Amino acid sequence: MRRVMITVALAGLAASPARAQLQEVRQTIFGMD
Amino acid sequence: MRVAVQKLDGVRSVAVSLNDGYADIVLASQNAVTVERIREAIRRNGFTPREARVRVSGTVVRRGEQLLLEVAGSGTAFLLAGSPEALERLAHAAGGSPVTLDGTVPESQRGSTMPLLLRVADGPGAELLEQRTAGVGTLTSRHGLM
Repeated sequence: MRRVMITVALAGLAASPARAQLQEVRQTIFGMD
Repeated sequence: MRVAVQKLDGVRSVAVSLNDGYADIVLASQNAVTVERIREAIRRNGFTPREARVRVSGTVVRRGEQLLLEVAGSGTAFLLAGSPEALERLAHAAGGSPVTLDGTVPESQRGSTMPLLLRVADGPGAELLEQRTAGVGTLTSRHGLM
């Protein structure tokens, strides 16, 4: 399990070495005002 | 609302579920989008944004007793919160190492100039991992986002 997760982290780095920003957001929203 | 958020520069896709009460937003690889800009677009369309779960990359810096995650793309920073263990690990990354974190941003007050709080995901199954390669440290979370 640990080995798999480390692989994921490295893959993320390789794909975007300079990423420094918001990537994904799940924003909860509440009805109409 | 979906269209309004989609129009923000740097937003790749938006999926809104009114039944479940959330919007899933995926950002482009280079963007300057902030949580507040997304929330403003949602407010303008008559909805109230509550807490958000985010995946965000940046660098950890110390400000006195506090840890901040500086997000270079948008020029903003999150004030980091979480378990002592999670914060201790992040403290080791302070000083410029890039990190990618999953966390929760609580509902914010409209117009507030305070840094948004980012509560780092922790608890069972959310162990933070650290990998160092050629002097570059990376922290990521096992905690799934979506």
